[in-house]
Amino acid sequence: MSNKTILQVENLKVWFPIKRLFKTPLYAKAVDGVSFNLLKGESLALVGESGCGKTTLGKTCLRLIEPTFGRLIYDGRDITHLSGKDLKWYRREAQMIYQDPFSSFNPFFPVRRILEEPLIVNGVKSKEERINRIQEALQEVKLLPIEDFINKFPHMLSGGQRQRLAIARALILRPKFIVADEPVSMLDASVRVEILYLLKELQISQGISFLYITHDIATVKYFSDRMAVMYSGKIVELGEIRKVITSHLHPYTEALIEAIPDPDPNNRNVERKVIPGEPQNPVAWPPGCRFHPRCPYAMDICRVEEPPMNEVESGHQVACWLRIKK
Amino acid sequence: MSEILQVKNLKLYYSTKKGVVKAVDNISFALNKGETLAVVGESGCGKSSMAIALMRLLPRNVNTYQGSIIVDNEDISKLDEKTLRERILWRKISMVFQGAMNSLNPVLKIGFQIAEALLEHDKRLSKKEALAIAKKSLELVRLPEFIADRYPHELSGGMKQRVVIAMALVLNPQIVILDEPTSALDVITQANIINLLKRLKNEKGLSYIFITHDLAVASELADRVVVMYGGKIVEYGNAEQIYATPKHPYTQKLIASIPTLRSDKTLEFIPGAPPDLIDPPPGCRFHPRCPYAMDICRVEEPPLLTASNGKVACWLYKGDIVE
Repeated sequence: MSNKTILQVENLKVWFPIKRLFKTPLYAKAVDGVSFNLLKGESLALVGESGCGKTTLGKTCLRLIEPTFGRLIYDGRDITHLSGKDLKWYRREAQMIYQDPFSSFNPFFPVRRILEEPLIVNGVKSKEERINRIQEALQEVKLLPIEDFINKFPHMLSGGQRQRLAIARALILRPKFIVADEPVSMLDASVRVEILYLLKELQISQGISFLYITHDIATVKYFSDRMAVMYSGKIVELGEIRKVITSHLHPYTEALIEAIPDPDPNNRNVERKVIPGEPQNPVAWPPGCRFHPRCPYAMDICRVEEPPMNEVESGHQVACWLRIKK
Repeated sequence: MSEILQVKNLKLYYSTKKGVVKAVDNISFALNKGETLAVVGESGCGKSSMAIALMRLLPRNVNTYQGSIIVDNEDISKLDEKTLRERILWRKISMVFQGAMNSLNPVLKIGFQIAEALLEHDKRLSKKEALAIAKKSLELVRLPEFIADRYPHELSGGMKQRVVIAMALVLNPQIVILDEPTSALDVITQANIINLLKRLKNEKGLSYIFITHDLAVASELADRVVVMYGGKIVEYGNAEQIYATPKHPYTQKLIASIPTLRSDKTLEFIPGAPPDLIDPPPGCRFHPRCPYAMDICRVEEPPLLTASNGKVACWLYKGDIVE
């Protein structure tokens, strides 16, 4: 592993048991064999439809969910089964920004308490230092002037301000790795861009690595460096953003991109090309390539054998039989 | 083109503990037959309030409800509740509510839930006949007939959204208000539903009022666009003009803030927050966030001027008036 990698995910599987009376349990295979490297200071976007396992993968990377199989290596250290004090160390290193800025705060805590809590839990004893750190964090997310915000309660803030507070809370322990799960999807268009720019700024100025989980490919281009497309618990395509958007290799990526409109009044005169079907059931994935029931190019081999991840050109990987030369 | 709906000076204010919220403040527009009018704006700008004002589905804390709503040359705001419900709502003008797919009754079969509206509106109809019509309407939204015997939890999000659209269309209305019909759906499902709405519009000659916060999705259907800000219409015009040459600074900024997939542009954002509708800023409601704000903007509210293309409520275009 190169020392440029901050998080290495190796064949990660997260299976949730579905218990059945007197029968062996079934498993919902939310994440089913995912490998990738997150580089230091990079922003990697994880895109896919709901139910494809992207949030589960994000939470597992933070060790909020126990992995079933596979390994997680953070900064050269195996964190797959950390516990106790070591896990607490990882909790400081890695943080999360949640989707919903309206329900991720305790409504009875003022801003100061929201930001102070993680410091107290992590043993910052001096009150002075805590206040300094809180002010620093508010400064970083530009909730200014600080005196106006520090005593406010979450309900007194707008959506954009709350999301800034969520970012401040993630930053307060000075993490090196942040999982941002749909951080802008509940915000208005005019505010969305502001928050994306703020995250980008933090990525560059503080060298924080981001795993940006989203279903909105249009925003990805403005915040991330690389993009991984997930389908049915697997990564099907991974590469540099522009490569994936303009010369995508997987039929699913093509379908996703095709489905997204750009603001153009000519759209109303044409129908959008849409693939048939719905995402598959995580309890019983189809055999072979999981996308084959919906794929317009499906061949015989796709129905039988699962395509391996294959590097087509440097840094651009895809799992599709169409791209494997025999 | 004939105007199927005219809205004049519509106002809807709510009473709250903090004061009167001017959610819809004196708006006027018209909808042509077979046309889609997209109503766009950020959350809290009064889009959904406008929709419930059109349907007269008012909450209890209404303070002021005024204006005329003319459907097919008849002012429906003058009708009493009973006539309105019997003759107009769902028959002439219907609505797909925001998040309606999550409000289906979990213990009733889909077919019955669609048939219920029919039975309520036509007392002579037998339950069997109503169910038959319900099944027909499922066909209309490209769902197989057996869905009528399913319960909501057996359907996917996209299928439920189709059911909700079928419900809105079951009494053959001419005008359908679509309040964020795709905002809770995945991109591929969203594209599917939009395709369906396009087809239904052409097949049945429907007129849509399409309420959305997403200008990219709005462009999928919109013939004309109304841009709302702080309970008012700030710009109104043909889709081509609004997207290519927006006039109002708010519209310009809003379009500049939408990420595009296929082309590169530098995204802009609008600093500041949307106005408080209890105590809106004097003059133009956008002036605290407007980069071109002049003295007059802070004092006097701009009227909706007829500019060279469409209408715009902005002092910058005062000299540009045609009429």
